Amino acid sequence: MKKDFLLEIGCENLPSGYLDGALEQLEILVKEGLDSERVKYDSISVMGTPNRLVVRIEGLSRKQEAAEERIVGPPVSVAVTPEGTYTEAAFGFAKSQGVSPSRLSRVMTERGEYLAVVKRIRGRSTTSILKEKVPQWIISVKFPKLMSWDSSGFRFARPVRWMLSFFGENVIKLTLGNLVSSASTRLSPYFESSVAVNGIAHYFSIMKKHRIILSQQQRRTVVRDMAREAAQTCGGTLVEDDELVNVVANLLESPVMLTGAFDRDFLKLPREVIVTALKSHQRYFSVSGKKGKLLPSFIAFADGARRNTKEIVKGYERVLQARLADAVFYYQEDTSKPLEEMAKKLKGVVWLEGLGNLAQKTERIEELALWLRSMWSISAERLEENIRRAARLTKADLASEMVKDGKEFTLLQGYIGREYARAGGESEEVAESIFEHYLPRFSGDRLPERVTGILLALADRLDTITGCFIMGLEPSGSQDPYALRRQALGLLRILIERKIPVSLPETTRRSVELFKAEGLMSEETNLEELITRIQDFFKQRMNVMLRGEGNDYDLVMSVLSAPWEVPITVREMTAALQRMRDRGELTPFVLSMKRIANILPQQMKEGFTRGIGSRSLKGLANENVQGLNFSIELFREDAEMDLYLRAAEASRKLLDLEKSKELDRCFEVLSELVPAVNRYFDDVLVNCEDRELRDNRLSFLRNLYQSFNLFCDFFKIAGE
Amino acid sequence: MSEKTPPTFQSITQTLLQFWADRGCVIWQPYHTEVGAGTMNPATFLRVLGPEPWKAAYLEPSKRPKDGRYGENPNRVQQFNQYQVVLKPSPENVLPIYIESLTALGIDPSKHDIRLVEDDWESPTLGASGLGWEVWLDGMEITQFTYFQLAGGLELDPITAEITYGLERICMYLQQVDDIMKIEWGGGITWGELNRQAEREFSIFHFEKADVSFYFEIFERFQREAIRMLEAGLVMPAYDYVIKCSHMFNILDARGAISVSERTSYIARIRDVARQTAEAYLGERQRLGFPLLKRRPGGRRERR
Repeated sequence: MKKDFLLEIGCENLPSGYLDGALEQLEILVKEGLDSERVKYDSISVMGTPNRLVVRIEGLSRKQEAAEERIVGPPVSVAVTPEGTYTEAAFGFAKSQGVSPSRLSRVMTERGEYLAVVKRIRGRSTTSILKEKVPQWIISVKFPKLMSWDSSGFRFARPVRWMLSFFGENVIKLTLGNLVSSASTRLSPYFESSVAVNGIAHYFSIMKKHRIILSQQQRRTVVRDMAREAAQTCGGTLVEDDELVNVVANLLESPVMLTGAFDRDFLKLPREVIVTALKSHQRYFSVSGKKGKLLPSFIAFADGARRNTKEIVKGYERVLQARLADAVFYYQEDTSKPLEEMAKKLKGVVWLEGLGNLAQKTERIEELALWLRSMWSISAERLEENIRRAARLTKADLASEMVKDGKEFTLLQGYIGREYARAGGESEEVAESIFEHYLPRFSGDRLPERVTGILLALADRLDTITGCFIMGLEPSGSQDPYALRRQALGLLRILIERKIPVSLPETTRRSVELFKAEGLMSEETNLEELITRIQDFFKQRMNVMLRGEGNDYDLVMSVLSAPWEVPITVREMTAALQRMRDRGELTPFVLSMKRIANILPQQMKEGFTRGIGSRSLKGLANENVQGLNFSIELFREDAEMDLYLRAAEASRKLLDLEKSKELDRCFEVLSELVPAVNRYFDDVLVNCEDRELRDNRLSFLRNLYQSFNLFCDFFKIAGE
Repeated sequence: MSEKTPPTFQSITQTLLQFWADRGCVIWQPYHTEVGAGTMNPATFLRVLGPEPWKAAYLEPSKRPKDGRYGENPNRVQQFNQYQVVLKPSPENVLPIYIESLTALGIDPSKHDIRLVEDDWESPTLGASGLGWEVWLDGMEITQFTYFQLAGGLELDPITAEITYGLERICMYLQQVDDIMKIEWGGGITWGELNRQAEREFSIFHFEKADVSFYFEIFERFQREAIRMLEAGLVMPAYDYVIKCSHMFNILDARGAISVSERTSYIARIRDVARQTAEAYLGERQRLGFPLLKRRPGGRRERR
């Protein structure tokens, strides 16, 4: 009852970057397709090369499983008389379904009791299902770009030129576009000649015989192992690069390793320039010798065995030679003058349309970095001098021949700046900070280490975000052309992991002011609204980040909904709430906090700001009740005075915590108030008849609410 | 072809011409005004539009002012030669035929690493794009192979396959020279002997001497002329002025006279007339009843 199935989709070289995605999708499409068609199978494997996508299903049932389908008809109230006999409606339904009335049954639905009929559906043959569905699965594979190549309307990433398909020993004729699948394959899309295949096992033996490795994982392993071995033969070790292994493995189906060499003279180029020249365009691997210095060798892969590898290697070498010669030319041009000269050219380089040039950007980076330094109150030897120097040079390499030509070396921005700074005799702190200011470049990348690098990295990111928001280029939906989300995440990571307790809204304000001072904003721009938009954007990023760290959604929201300023505090406070929840301490605490808020009329809670909260907190801490609009003389119950005194004490502690940057402990302090709050609500009738007493109580509670709301919006916490 | 006597530039051109003539192509000619690529020759840009079948092959001297290096760089020049082949509709076996053409040039696929490397081609000035590859011969790019998808902003059906051979690259490879100037052209003369003077002088002209205000002025006038001709229903003359605009832009760009922000708007202006020309061409061909559709399957025109 079971047979194996094989499908090969023969393509003209699919782009290497498309292959993994296509295979993953194909596997899901086939699995879900067979499941929804109720066709059973033992296993599915999907594999492929740039020239062929292959699906192998083992133990595929020859028939679809039978099924029962229930069709619901008229309601019982209409179809059955009170005496229990069927009406015309019931007979009509049975007739329309082609069954005798005796097969009608009753079912209970949300809308009441209905008549229904249960029909048995016989399983179709798997062959007919495959003929219908396989072409649909293939065209459902999504690619970054699709193309047409004939007039059939079939679109794919590259032309599909043949299909092979077997179900057991038999060929199934699948139709897709102008193609019909057959029992033959091609060894390469370069040649029209095809190879007859007489069965599934035969297909795999043909592939094996021609050293075509169908599994992409296996090709990766083979490429990596061969490259490592070759590097050892060259007398060094492979410069490991997973990305390159993946690209190479998906560029070919029958990897053949070749080694070549380049002039020793090129080794005077900065290491990454050589590695990039080898990798980016030519996809060659570099070999590292002792002490991390490169060897003048490379490792390349050809597709399929060729008869004169010597000449192929000569070709590779000639192309590489030309690329490295270009790099040497750039390097000599660039290092013939000081980096400062290059920085001056940035005046002529537009940064973003309407936001001035890159020289202006570096000036703002300098100012913002200095400002951040004073907020962070960090000091280091010659810090100000280093910041000023490095800031001016941060973007200088963008005007270098090496980076500005827009080709492979552009990826080395920052690195080139550092190398040129070193070559020009800049201090290590300055040179290294030029490189570090681009960190992190991607998620999981390392962060800047040096104080100067950290400050420049923060300033550059915030400047970009502010600039884009001014120009209305903020991300929306899947659109984020300036990668602001990544930049924001990088900024937050640095602030948090490097423990920098600066206020984000204040820093943003400073950044906005710098744009304003340069006249890069229209007069009508509403500064407050702009700062709020940017802050909301950071809030979303914080949300993603904190949830990614495993915090509950509601806790993240509750902390982020308070008027927070310092990212690291937000993170610590969220973690503190999470710990309380994990220990089961959160519920009683939140309940009592919510009791305070619940009793207040809505208008008392509206328009909450940081300023209002701080005033209440400071007033309570200083026991300066006049300013807070309530009076101790009007307290009648012991519980009122008790809560007041404890709240004042707590407020003083909270202010201390704020000063000592230990706000993660604020919930500990607040939870000490729980018994007093509960006693208050047990003993005191807040909404009493006496208007004067009532207003005084509400006013007191309002101040508590405003003080505590500074740290967390308790209403956002679910369940409790 | 014996490996000991490598082919000359002119024999390579001759081989390709014969190869594609044998496969039913019209052997067309380079265009008579400056173009940046064979794609801009009306034999490609306009003929790919609409339903009429078209197979053509031609040499195209391609002018790219920015790439000039005063005749001093072994790989970069301001004018090089493409061999352009367009096949519409693209035959099912177009890739095998292309590989066969390499064999005809003496490049044995069993001895070389011939690789198709993803390269999605796009010409912002022509509003044209296609998907395909660069073809690498032992690591060196020798051909652009493109399935045209869009021209003048119009979606294409049938699809044209465009094969653009980089003749100098192929020649350098076959003659095993590492300097373009050393290519043996034919008749005992080298590429450098023929072109070095022009390379030097045009580089000076494009980078230093071209009269910027004159070129800005004629750009404007050429663009107006293109529009005027479109209004008069004269598509082919209009297209000539589109190509001229494009070349004027390239000169101004090489001269450093166009700022980053202006660049986009100049490109958009050319694209705009290119698009209108493409639409007008299609309209005119339709009015003429798409004459090239009326062909016998054998390839010969019907005779009365």
